[in-house]
Amino acid sequence: MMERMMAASIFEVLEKMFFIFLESGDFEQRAYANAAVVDFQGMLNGRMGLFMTRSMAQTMAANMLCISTHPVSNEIVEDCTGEAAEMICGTFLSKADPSGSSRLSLPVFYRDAATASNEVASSPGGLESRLGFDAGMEKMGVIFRFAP
Amino acid sequence: MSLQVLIVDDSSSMRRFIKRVIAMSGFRMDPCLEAPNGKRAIEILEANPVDLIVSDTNMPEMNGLELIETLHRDVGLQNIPVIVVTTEGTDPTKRDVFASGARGFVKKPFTPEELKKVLGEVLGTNHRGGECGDDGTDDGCLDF
Repeated sequence: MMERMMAASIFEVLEKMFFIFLESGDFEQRAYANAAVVDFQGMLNGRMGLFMTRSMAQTMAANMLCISTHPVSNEIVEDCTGEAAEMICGTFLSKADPSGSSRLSLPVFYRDAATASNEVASSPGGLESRLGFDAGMEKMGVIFRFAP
Repeated sequence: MSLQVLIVDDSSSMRRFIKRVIAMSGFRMDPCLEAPNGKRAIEILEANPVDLIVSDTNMPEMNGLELIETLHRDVGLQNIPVIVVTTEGTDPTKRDVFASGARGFVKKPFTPEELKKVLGEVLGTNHRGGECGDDGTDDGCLDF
């Protein structure tokens, strides 16, 4: 049930804001380069990490802002990745906690997905969900880690 | 229709996206003002006349709800309409946003049409897209 909400949130954000249509796939940590991490507190407490290939992050930024020049600047890619993480987590919490008690931190961007993965793993957690997605050759993954 | 708009969001990409949607909706911004948080927005408002504020809620230093509360304590600023654009999209949050004095609410993620609809409702205009002939690359915004 929770994982269906997570997946629905990810599809909604990627389709509406970034015009990217994902398919469910495997979580492939080694494929990811960029990442952003957001904490959430309220009825649900925990940390979410969004991971993706470098070219996926480039495509997302280019699509959102209708930028035709490649490569998109690192500053814009980092900002878009963080904003995507915040929107995915916020959309999930809107579904999972309709009371509206949950609050998000500001997103933190990581150029190194492994470091971001360690950051997510370092949060107090009882339950963890990992979801993987493909968009053509591009890959994206999300970890939700919930505090007990 | 010519508007002085202030877009408040800690994401420069989101500010750019919102600016583009406003331009596509037929509103000419002369120029569009931008702030990365509520505190900077107040400073800009003290020095510039503004017709509309489009603000995020989750921002550093001063969040969107604190910004609206500050506006409502200032006689000179309290009548500026505010549209809140936020990832926090539950019904209770929406009620809180309207109770704070905001005139419009848009949940992120949103399509250009969703923001355009709320812009029309808040401004009371029968807006039409594309009047400015904006191709999305026009950058009339002043970054602060």
